[in-house]
Amino acid sequence: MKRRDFLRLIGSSTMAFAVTSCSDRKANPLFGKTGQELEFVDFEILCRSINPIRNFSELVLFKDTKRVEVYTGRSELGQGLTTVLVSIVSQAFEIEPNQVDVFLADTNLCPDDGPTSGSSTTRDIAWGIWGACLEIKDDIIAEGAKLLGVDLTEVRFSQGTVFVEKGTKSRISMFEMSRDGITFTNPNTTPQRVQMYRDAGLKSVRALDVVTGKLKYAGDIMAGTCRYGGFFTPPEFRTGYKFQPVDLRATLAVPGVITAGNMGQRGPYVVAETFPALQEGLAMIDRKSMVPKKNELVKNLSQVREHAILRKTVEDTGNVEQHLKSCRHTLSETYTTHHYNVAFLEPQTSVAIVSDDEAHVWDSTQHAHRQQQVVARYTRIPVERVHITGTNVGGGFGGKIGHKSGAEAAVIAQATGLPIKRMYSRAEVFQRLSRAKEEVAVDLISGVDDSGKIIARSANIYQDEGNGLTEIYDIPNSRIRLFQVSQKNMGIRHATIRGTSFTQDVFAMESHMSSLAHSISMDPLEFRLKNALWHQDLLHTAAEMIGYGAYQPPEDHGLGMAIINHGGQQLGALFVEVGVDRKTGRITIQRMRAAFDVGIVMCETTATIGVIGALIWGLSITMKEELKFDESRILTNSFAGYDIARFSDIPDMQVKFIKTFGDGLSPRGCGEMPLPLIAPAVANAVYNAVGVRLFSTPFTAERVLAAIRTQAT
Amino acid sequence: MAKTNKSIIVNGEHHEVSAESSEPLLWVLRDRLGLTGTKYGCGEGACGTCTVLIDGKAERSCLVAFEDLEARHAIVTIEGLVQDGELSPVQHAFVEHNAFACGYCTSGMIMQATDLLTINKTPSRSEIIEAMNDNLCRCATYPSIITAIESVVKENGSKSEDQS
Repeated sequence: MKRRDFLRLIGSSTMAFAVTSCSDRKANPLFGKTGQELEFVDFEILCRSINPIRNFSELVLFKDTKRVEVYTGRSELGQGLTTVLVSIVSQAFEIEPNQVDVFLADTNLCPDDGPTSGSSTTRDIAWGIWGACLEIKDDIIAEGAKLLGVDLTEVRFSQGTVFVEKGTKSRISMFEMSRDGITFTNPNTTPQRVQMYRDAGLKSVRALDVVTGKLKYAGDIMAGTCRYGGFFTPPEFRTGYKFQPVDLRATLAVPGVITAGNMGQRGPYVVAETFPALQEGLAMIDRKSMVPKKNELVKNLSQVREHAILRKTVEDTGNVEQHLKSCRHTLSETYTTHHYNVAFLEPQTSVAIVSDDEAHVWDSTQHAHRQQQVVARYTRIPVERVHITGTNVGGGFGGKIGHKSGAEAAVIAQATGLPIKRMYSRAEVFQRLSRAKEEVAVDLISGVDDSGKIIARSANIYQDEGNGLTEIYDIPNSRIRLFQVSQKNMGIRHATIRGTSFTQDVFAMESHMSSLAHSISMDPLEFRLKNALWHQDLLHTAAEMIGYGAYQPPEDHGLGMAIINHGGQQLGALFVEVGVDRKTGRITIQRMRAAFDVGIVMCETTATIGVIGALIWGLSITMKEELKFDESRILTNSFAGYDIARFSDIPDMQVKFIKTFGDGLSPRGCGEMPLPLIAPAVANAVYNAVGVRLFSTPFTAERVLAAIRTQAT
Repeated sequence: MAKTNKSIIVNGEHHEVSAESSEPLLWVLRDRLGLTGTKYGCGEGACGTCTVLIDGKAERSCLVAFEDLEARHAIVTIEGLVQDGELSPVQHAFVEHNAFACGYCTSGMIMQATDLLTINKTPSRSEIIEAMNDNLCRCATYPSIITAIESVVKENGSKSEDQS
């Protein structure tokens, strides 16, 4: 059944698709066509046409049940998508929040509008829905006037109903109107309309379910009625591992183990009644006959550069070499970063039921439609017969976009005929390494004139992902090149993790900025204000918040700062105060003050939780987290050996949202952007406190102490 | 190893349960009693996600073996905090202060905070941090969790002043 037929069947009275605008929308063959033409475009074709170029579509429909339903393929990760959608739809139609239903991440119900990532969901989805709602409301008012037999100027809209203004009690509810067909909306909302948006201050609509334990995650599906299945995860890196069929008699003898088998290059699998029995069964697998691949880790910078190939020149203006030679002051530095793990509290989890030619998988995923493709590939079941129901996600942070738990659950279910729950153990979350962030090296050379104006800069970034930064300072001669380090020699798979490559690149760039300022004896704030393209207001705001001008540092205390432009839209400035213990090298972050420009803040409650969380994420990976491994295996595979930020690590924090650039007429997202600010701001504060420059993360006490001792000698 | 049959009290109700002796309480609650509000995070007591109350004291249910449970033990999970349809003060405070993001750690946080506020109705900020410090939140909603707990402390302080 086609989707439109399905929607009509379930009683929709009005349907609307919304396609949000984005920079590459002109590539969309459908863009610019009228709604009338789109009447004849099948929904699935529409979505397929839109998705490859990352435009997004959503759907709003009114049912005769007097409810508004919103569908999007995006997932609820805790970023507040559900709450924001309920807030804007109820606000647009002036109805109660409990009249709005939100359906997310279900391949049978929702369009594929891309992965839930990059801090973009509110920006892309919610704003599109808001624009669609406004246009639909206009249609409703016009249709209502027509049905009531009066002129458009004689009606008003309130609480989901069109009223005749004077002289009569005539009215018609929007739910009573039959809107036969699709209203296609390009919600490029006008300034007047945008200004209608108000943050209603709605509390999380999921709150009651969360605090009572009723909110369902993938692991809560079919509790007690399905079996636990898992594949053998070797302690060595799985990439390149040569699995051989093994004798599974010891595994099968474990109480609670139901069955076990060998599945070619996927390795041995086990099915058990309980999760503990599964773990015990997997632990009994004798891996002597299996061959781990020896990985040649790239361990030093010369090897990194040697193995790298130029992937992209992000920026190339002026003549960098010539002007670097002629500058009176130049500074050349190299910064490096470390490996860390996504470490969400909910491991990758999926439940699968597979029959002869159909699969239904409940999945903790950031992109249900991608999981649909993966499950289809693993099971060889046609993709249209694979149904993914995305559940609430217990932390995604980029790590639940391309994970394999759904496909693994499905192939074990297919092999055994049993409903299977695949829940990674904590050790597997670490050992699979599929979401461990790679090491990055950044080589920087900058030239400055006597006035503190940056004349030229060269940046070579060695990393496995990301598109590289664009310049946020006004530099006439600038070149940023991105070199790809071969994964084959890294022994560790790179991954997208919250902050993406900005985390590493901003550490290098913004540390270098303060270094440059000190090299010419200029205040780092003044230096940034002189050279920044857009951040002056944010810098002034955050500086005032921390009391920059009047700061009298206690002994071995200092202030540091950093700025960011994330994705060309989200701007931030962070100031931190640190104290450094010269005897131990321990850094204590005393205060954080941040100012952000993220356009319209659709829901300040969820946005504030998002930016605070991102800052603490940054603190955690900068100060505490580090994956350790040797040439063949990961050595940190539990929370006992891999410490993340906890209550006692949280400094005094304040954040502000302000508007500084652009028309400020749309939301731009905010969940990632604050994170990369931490490492450079702390490094710069440490320099300010004790005069040592930290060129590598994480800032462990040992590393800081070594830097202090090196400086002393 | 054969299964053991035992009667346990969870959220005020007696349950006859058959499970492996070594099976952690976490999985007994989730898979044998269907109480999925208690979550798996690490399986080694390091994250606090699976925290429940046993005789009023916060325990990591992933570390409590079925064989160590006794019939007299009163086990309370997140599902058991609601009394007569009313949220507990801690649950209510978490709602009021949006003290969660993805929500996966929230059950454990609420159980740990409930334990703290049972022992000490008016803990200081540093006492709150000390008591909660082994419960992890990867979304890092720590500041709003502290605010939520402090709101209950404030309420408790007002009540004790009224009584004095």
